[in-house]
Amino acid sequence: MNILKCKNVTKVYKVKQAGDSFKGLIEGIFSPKYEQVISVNNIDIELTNGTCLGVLGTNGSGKSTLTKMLTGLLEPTSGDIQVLGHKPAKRSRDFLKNIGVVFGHKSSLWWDLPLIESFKSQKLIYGISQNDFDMNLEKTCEAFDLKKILNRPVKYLSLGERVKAEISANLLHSPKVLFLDEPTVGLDVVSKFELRKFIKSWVKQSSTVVVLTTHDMVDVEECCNRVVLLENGSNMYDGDFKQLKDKLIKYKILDLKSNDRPLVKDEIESIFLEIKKIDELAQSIDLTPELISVKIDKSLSLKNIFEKIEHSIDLDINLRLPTLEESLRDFYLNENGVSL
Amino acid sequence: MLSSINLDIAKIYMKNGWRVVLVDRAILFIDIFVATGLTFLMQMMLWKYIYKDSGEVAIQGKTFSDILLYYLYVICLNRFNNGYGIIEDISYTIYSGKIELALVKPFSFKLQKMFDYLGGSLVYLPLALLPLIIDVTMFSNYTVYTGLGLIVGYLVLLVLSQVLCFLLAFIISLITFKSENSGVVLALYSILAAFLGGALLPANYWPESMRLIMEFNPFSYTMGAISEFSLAPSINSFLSCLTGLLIYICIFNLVSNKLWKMLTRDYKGLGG
Repeated sequence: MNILKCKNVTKVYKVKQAGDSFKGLIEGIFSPKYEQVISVNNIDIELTNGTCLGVLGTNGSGKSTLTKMLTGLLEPTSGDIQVLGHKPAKRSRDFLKNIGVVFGHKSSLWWDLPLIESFKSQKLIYGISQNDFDMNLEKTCEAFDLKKILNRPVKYLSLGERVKAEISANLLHSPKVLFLDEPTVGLDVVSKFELRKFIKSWVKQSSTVVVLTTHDMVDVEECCNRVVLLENGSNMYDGDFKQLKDKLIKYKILDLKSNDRPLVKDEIESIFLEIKKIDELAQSIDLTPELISVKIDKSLSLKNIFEKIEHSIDLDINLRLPTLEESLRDFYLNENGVSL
Repeated sequence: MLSSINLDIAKIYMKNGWRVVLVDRAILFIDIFVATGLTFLMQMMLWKYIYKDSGEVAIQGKTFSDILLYYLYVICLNRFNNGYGIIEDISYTIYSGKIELALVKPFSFKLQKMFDYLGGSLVYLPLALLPLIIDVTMFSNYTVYTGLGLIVGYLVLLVLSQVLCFLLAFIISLITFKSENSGVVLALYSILAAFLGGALLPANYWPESMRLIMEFNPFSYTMGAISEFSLAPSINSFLSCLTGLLIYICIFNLVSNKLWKMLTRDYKGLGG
């Protein structure tokens, strides 16, 4: 059964144009001119139970606008959205009671009061039974190690603790759909690891729907079983994360480092020429005395390279796939033939 | 509005609002001793000079002790029915985009803020009761019947004036949806409340042409009108004050709901 359904959803903003001269400013007050900005363009998404959808995109690609439309904060200009059988923009009590929303950079917790007071408020606002409250509190406190900070005022918590507390607060009522907008922003590696681990296990156990909006590829790789890639408001890819990776990764990166000493200019040039002999389309990323980094055909293996590069210098050779982040950057900048 | 109130949720918002005010002891001290105590002292010195200089026993029907009691009521009510904090809070919530988090809660934003405000005001309740206690015990020789009427009437008007004050502050704070500067909104409220509420002068001290506005504007029902009732308690002045409060509460409740719907419908939100 579809828990979340978007059909031909488009959001167009009317943005007031600021005059660049004094005359323009005065005109803007009396007869303002508006520019139409298409933030989300004709998006179709259908999600069933147990899906963790990662929404990827650059700044301004429409990720947050899409999340806001799905949570009912914004009304789509055209198209239809159904979440749990409700039109989100109507913000009915029944709809709001069954969703959880976390914006990584905003906190809904009571700033001056101990954390437990925010949790107790959630219990009453969402009508959570004592049993469910105790059980979910125990579960999230254990996962995020929050027990020791329950009686500490929120203002004294670290950013990581606050984000974890915010997510916990939004899980206490066991929402059927959880929206996480950049939940790992500003977190350290340990906190990110804990968070990803928890989201992954929570989706598995509760078979709910999670919509995760993020810039961090690792978030998506670790937690999501489906990805939507937005660019200029349009859906460029919707599907499996592995397939996205295969599609995006068009080359391998060959890194060579000298073990003895920094390389001289002639040596760098000769090594690069040797690589060119193996793959004439090879492109340099870095050609410095410390590191030679080259993009080569992804079908080549380390064996091919060992066999063909001959020289007297002791080199460390490393062949790796580009990170998804590097591939996405190529895709967004339309470089290296990366397209979907 | 009242139909959707869940008392348990109301209680938790009130309790949290109350605790948040108590956390900031410095502001509490400034509010009670400096903003209230010093203001009263200044008014007392000023009016003592005016009465002494004019040689009048009563000005516009008020003796020196009447005017002192009036200012005691008005200054304490000014602190009790103070929308400054709630405007500051709502303006910041809108301006920073945090309103998005409040909008996805299954409990109306207006009610969240109203109970939060009412809870916070409980801290100042002793201050609002102080003039009544002084009035009943030291200033007046009421009959038991009139004294009880004054106490009950004052408490009823106090509760209603809190709701009216919240609605006024709520409506003013919504300007932040359209204004870039929340400081302007705060200044607007402070000026309107001080000027129209009766903290500057009692309504009947204004020129004839302005008296009607000064007496029957909504801000006056949060301070001046209640003070006037307390100075000369009667069933007529109570009913007049009660009617004014109820009419304004109904009007501003409707206005705030309409405005809220209109502004949140047009709300574009902040970027991601």
